[in-house]
Amino acid sequence: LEIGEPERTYTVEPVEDPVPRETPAEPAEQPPTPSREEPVDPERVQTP
Amino acid sequence: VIAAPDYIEPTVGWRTWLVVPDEDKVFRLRSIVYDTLWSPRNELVAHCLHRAVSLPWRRRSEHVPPASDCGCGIYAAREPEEAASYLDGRSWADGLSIHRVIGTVSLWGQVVECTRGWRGSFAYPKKIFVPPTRAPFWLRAERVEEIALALADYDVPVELLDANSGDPKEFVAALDARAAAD
Repeated sequence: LEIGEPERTYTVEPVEDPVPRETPAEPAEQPPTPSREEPVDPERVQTP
Repeated sequence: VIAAPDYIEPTVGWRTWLVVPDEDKVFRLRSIVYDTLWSPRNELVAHCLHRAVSLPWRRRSEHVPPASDCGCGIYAAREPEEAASYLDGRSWADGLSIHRVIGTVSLWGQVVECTRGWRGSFAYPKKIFVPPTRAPFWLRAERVEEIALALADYDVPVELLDANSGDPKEFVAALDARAAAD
């Protein structure tokens, strides 16, 4: 491409990104899993 | 001390690309002179290829492209006529290409302004126009609609251009007509 002779140099920092970038996919919602630390079943307690 | 940029809007110029199938047989933009593929959704970053191809005793010192005293950087023309003159060109790379397209390109980073265009350190297509192929129908591997559809991966406007001759003036007239209609 013929663009001629250089005249000046400048800097450009676009406010908006000129590249339509891929947005990271949202992680699919999953049902909450019970924490290992929490007991799944109620503890049996001996009654007097 | 960090210097403030001179501009906050990209410089927009014109260029022509080859359309080539990549290793996955997907159509992509490619620079005409250098073997550089333009990736969808990623800016093209300039590298000084002049240094790599120069004879050792004629090499310039290493620099960040584009340097005003080198020819490096990603090129864009000020006028569409300049870019359109490459639509009908032929190069060794045309053996790999299926078509040539024209369009506008955003340049940013460091930009060297020249009398008829610019050289920038970063670039991305802004709008792509797909002219009709002039290959005879029995040689047409792809229809322009298929090419335009593939180039939609760049996520910028892609339009078919109605210009039937190889005359750059006709392409520019078609571009003007399209701009007037928008």
